[in-house]
Order: sequence, then structure tokens, then C-alpha cells
Amino acid sequence: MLGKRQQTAQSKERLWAYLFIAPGIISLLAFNLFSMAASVGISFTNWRLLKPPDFVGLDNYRKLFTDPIFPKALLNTGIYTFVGVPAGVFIALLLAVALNQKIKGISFFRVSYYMPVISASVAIAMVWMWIFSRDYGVLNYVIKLLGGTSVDWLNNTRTVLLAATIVSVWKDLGFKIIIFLAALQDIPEELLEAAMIDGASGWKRFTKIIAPLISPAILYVSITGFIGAVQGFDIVYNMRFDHDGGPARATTTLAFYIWEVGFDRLRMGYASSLAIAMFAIVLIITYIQWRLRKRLVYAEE
Amino acid sequence: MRYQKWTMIFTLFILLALVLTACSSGSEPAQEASSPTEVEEINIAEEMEETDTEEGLAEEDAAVWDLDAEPVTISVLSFFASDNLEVEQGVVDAFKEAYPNINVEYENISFSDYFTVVSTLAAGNDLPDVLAMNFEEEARYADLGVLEDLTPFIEAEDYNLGKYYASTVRMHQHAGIQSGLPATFSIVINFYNKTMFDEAGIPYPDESWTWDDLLDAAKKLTQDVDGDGIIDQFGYVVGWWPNFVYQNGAAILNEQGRCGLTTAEAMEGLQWMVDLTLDPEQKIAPDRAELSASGDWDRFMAGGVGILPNGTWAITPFKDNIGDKFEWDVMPFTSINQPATFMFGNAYSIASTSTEKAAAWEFIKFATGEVGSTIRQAGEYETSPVKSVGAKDFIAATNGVPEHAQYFLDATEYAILPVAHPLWGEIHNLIWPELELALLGNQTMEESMTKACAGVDALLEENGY
Repeated sequence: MLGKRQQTAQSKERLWAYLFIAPGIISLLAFNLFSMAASVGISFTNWRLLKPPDFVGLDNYRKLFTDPIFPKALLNTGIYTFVGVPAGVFIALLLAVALNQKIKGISFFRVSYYMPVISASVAIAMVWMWIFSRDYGVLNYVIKLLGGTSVDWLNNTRTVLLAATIVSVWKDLGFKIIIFLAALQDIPEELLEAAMIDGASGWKRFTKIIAPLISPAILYVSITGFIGAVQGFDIVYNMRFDHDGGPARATTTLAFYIWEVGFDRLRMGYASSLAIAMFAIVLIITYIQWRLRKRLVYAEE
Repeated sequence: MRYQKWTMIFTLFILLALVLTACSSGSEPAQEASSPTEVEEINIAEEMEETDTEEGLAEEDAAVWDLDAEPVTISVLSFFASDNLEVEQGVVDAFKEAYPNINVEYENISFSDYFTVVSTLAAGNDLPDVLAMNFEEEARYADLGVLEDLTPFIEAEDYNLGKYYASTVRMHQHAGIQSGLPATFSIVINFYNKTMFDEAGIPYPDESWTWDDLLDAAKKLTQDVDGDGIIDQFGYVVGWWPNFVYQNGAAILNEQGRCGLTTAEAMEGLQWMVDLTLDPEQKIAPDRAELSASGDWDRFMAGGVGILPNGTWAITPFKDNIGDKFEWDVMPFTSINQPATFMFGNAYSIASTSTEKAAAWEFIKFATGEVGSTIRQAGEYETSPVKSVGAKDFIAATNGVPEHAQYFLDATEYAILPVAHPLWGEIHNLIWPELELALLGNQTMEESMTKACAGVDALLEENGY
């Protein structure tokens, strides 16, 4: 039995707790759940933003199957995601292990890799547009030094998406590295020392001790990475000087297409159904990853 | 447990969705979709000649408004002269002085963000009373029922539309209504770098120049100045693609209102555009890659372009940014086959949601009339459509730069209006990616236009045009 005073203290504490989580909950309700619910509703209408909507049933969803741009956007998003995320996780892991060494000036390197994360995408896109430029770009300069011919990276339908993928991987490396570094530093010294005494090689230590122990971090980074990449917009939008998702739709990702349909064409109904399709894709990918964790992540069930 | 949670969330969504749709369909009925705006080609040549007539000069427009009435407040949103804010602010201030009982909440937003802001405000049912509109977007907004028909206001007081060039009044008739009063218009002609012409020993161009003269000059000017194997000075820049269609007597939408780009003339015209940038024999203009390194506007201001087709709106920024780096002037627009260049126009419109329409009407009359026009013209923002102001003050305001500003007015003789279809943005987005493949040399023009037109016709069909 609790005393009266204890009870008031407890309810007071509870009140404070609610107060502290209120801003988060309210913004989640107002800006996330409400908008999500609204877009489900809007997807059944032909809302043009400037005119009251009419209910059109499943028309917008049927249109997904006849619209020639939707599969193109899906494919572009697929390439951007399934090339970018694994590459990003792999490179970030390598760099994190390297940055976990006790060498001089290590904080300089850590800061350097984190810089792009906090830089504006517009600025990043501008810088990389110059790197990829056909006539003035550093990249083509190097290629020519090595005896190759210059490539028009940003205007070639076969290379432009790859260029955007490289930039997005580079931009997000810092975030992934920070998570990996934190996980690496949580590994108990004595485990690695014991392994060393037992004569385990560096590679063995990595695969048998380090990798399993940081696997929850890898899972986290992959899930957030996939979700972020499927929603990829800012880099592809800004890397084209006329923001057209081109050339010839080569950088029209799903998120770009949603923006174009919704905010450029003002067809909010169809844009919402595209957004719901994107939500379904993210949900499926995340679910698969979540299921796989049992097999791949150490210490899960 | 988990499934229960999901079911709950899902139910919540459906409920909310139903509530939302119920709310929104309960509001005022949608305006009947009217017939598509005809693609109209307007020639205001004869009208320019009327300029000197006394008709429509300084009338007492304020007579209708009761200056002793209760004060009201109207909100005005504009993009006019956004890189020189005091110009339009001057118009607003003059209005406030003349109409002390109408308070104006005025805001200016740069053109690149303007329509994003307007559509967001419209979605929130929060549009200002008065909106600046550009001719092409106005077609879409009028079609969606956002703009008030001004005809009743005009008829009620027999407002004298004769003070404006009639073609600029017609330019703002969309979806069967008078959706705005003309505030400015602008025309695309050629700007050229005089200093570059001097250095190459080429005589300055004038109205006698044919396309062949331009081509000769542009070829001489297209050079790799620093000798690194990359062309860094171009004689010409290919302007807006629709221009090449109309220069060869074709049209983007044909008389049946369907895609007209698969005709031989249209494809030939667009092929010129490709050849001028890609064909080594004919190259006088930067191609897509060269433009992505640096745009045509920036290249011209940096002194890297000989002749640049661009509009009246470029005068002030060029004056400000070029300074005395080099001398420049304008010449007539030179077409390849038949004369064709575009005329654009801006208007002030009243939002159909406005609760202060009478005061809003007073504002748009004033801001587009003699006083507003004179202030705007002195600020060198485009050309005034008011006859008593446009022809006279436009040239005076330029102060001799460019020397031949008269060519802008002369161009009204051959200028045409761009397509003002409510779906123009979407039509463009279907054509451009295919055209771009041709401009990159990845696809023939025929392939590009066949695919583009299939898409455009399907879109028009689907939307009942």
C-alpha cells in the first residue's frame, strides 16, 4: 500500500512525464500521423489543391498501373537504394573501424566525415556538379590523366543516377560512421584482448567478435538508410540545373515524382496515391529487414 | 497484441480519411470546368500606332470609391520587380495615399517561389485579395476557379479598357472570364555583346539582319579563346524550344487542340535547335552539357555569349550585373524561317475568395492604370500595357541602355503568345524529357516527338480536352 503522500508524488511525476513527452507526441500527431491519414483520404480524390476535391474511388491507384513514369521512377529509386545503401553501409563500416584507431589527429578525420551530413544538400549538389562537369570537372580530369575519355556524367542517362547515388552515399557516410563508432567503442576491451591472446587474426577478430557485437548498429543503419534512400529527393532535385528529374527522367525518383505531381502539377490526389505506394514499399523493405534480424543480428532471440 | 495494434491504427486512418473527405466535399461546389483556352496568336502591331491618341488618358477612376467609407484592409501578393523592391512598393504607397481608407497589406515574393506560395495559400483557403499573375499560370488558376471574373466590375462603372493595348487585355482572358487587368508585358528579342563584336571586327547588327547574317557572325564568335580545347565563347544561345516550332510555321497544339509536334515543319524547326548545339559544322551555341556547367544568362553576363535571345525583364539585371565589364545593346529577334518571338504578360487579379472585392478592384485599377504604370515603368520593370505610358516612358526609362530599346516595341509586330493551356505545365513535362533526348543526340527527333505527342494526346484525352 502506498501512502497518500507517495501517491501524490507519483502522480505528480507522471504529470511531468506527460509534459515532457507532449511536444514530441503533439508534433507526431499533428505533422506525421495526421498528414499520413489525410493523404490516405486525399488519395481517393482528385484534389487539385485550388478546387474542392471529388471522390474518385480507386482511380488514382488504377492509374499507377498505366502511368509510364511510375515504373520508371520505381526503377530509378530501386537502383538509387539498392546500390547506395549497401555501398554506404560497407564503406561506413570500413571507415569506422579505421577511425576507431588511436592515431594522431583522429578527431580531425571524424569531423571531416561528419561535415557533409550537416551541410546543405544544395551546396553539396553544387560542388559535385562541378566535380562531375564534362569539361571542367575534376573527375574527368583524372580520367583523362589515366588515359580515358571524359564522360558527360550529369547529362548521360546511363551515368547521372550513379552520380547522384555516389553523392548521396558520400553525404550520409558521417551519420553511419558515428553510429558505428559508438557501437565499436562499446565492445569490451577484454573480449578483443582474450581473442588476441588466443591468437585470433585481425580478420577473425572482426568477423567473430566485432561484427556480431555491432550487428544491431548495422541493422539500425541499414533500416534508416533504406528508408532515407527510398525517399531520396534533395540530391536528385539539386544536381540537375533545371530541376527536371532528367535528363529524360533518368533521375526521376519516386519522391521526386511525388513532388512533381503534387506541387508542380497540383494533382494532390494522384500524388497521395504515389506516396501511399512509397509507404507500402518502405513498410515491406523494413519488415523484411526486421525479420532477417533474427538470423543476422547477434543476441536477438 | 501486435496485430491488434495495427488493426487499431488502420481503423483510425480510415476513420480520419472518411472524416476528411466528408469535410472537404461539403464545401462550396467546384466551378464548372469551361472549355480550353484557344491557342491565340495576337498581333498588337496596329495598336502600337494608336499610342498617341488621347483616348483613355487620366480619368478620374477614384470617383466610384467612397473615400469617407469605413476603412477596410486588403492583402496584395506580387512578384513584380522582386529584385528591386521599392518599385512595386512605390505603387502600393501611391495607392494608399490616394485611397486613405483602404489599408494594404503588401508582400512581394520572388517569381521562382511565387506560385508555390500561391498554391499553398489557395490550398489553405487563405489567398490574398489581390494576386499578381503571369499569363501562363493565370490560365491554370482561372480554369480552377480561383480568380474572380472582372467583367461585372468593368461593366458596372463602364471602366475604360481602351487605355490598355487591346491585345494585352485579351491576354488575360482565360476560361471564359476576364481574369486579370494587364500590368506589364515583355517580349523576347536578341541581346548582343557590343564589345565582343568590336573585337571580332563584326559590324553591329540592325533590323536588316537575316538569319544568315546572324549565323555568320555567331560562327566567327564561337571560339576556344584560351586554347584549352574547350569552346568558351559562343556566338549564340538557343532560346526557349517552342520558339523553333513557331519559327517554322508549326504549332505545339494544332487546330484540333491535339499535339502538333509530329508535323514535318515542327520537327524540322526543332532539329535546327539540335544542330546549332551539336553538329560540329553548324555549332554556334552551347549544348546541354555546356549549359549545365554555366547557364546562358550567366554566360552572357560573364561576357561568354555574343547574341542571347531574352526578354524585356533582362534589361535591369543586365545593367546591374554587367556594369562596365562590356558594352551591350539589343537587336531584333532574328528567325530562321518566319518571324516569331514570344510576348509574355503579367496581370493583377482578384481572388474569388476575397471578401473585399470592391476595394481589391480599386487597387488593381490603380496599380495597372496610369499612375501605377508610370511608377513601374520608371523603375524599368518590363513594359507598361497602358498606351499613354508604355511607348513613351519605356524608352525614356532605359536612359540609353540598351541604345536600341525601340526594338522591343517594334517586336510587337511579329510577337506571338505562348501556349496558355490550363494543362501547359503537364504538357511541357511530357514533351521536354523526349526533346532533351534529341538535344543530347540520344534519339532522333521523329522518335522523340512521336513519343511526346502520344503522351500529350493521352493527357488531353484523359482530362476531357
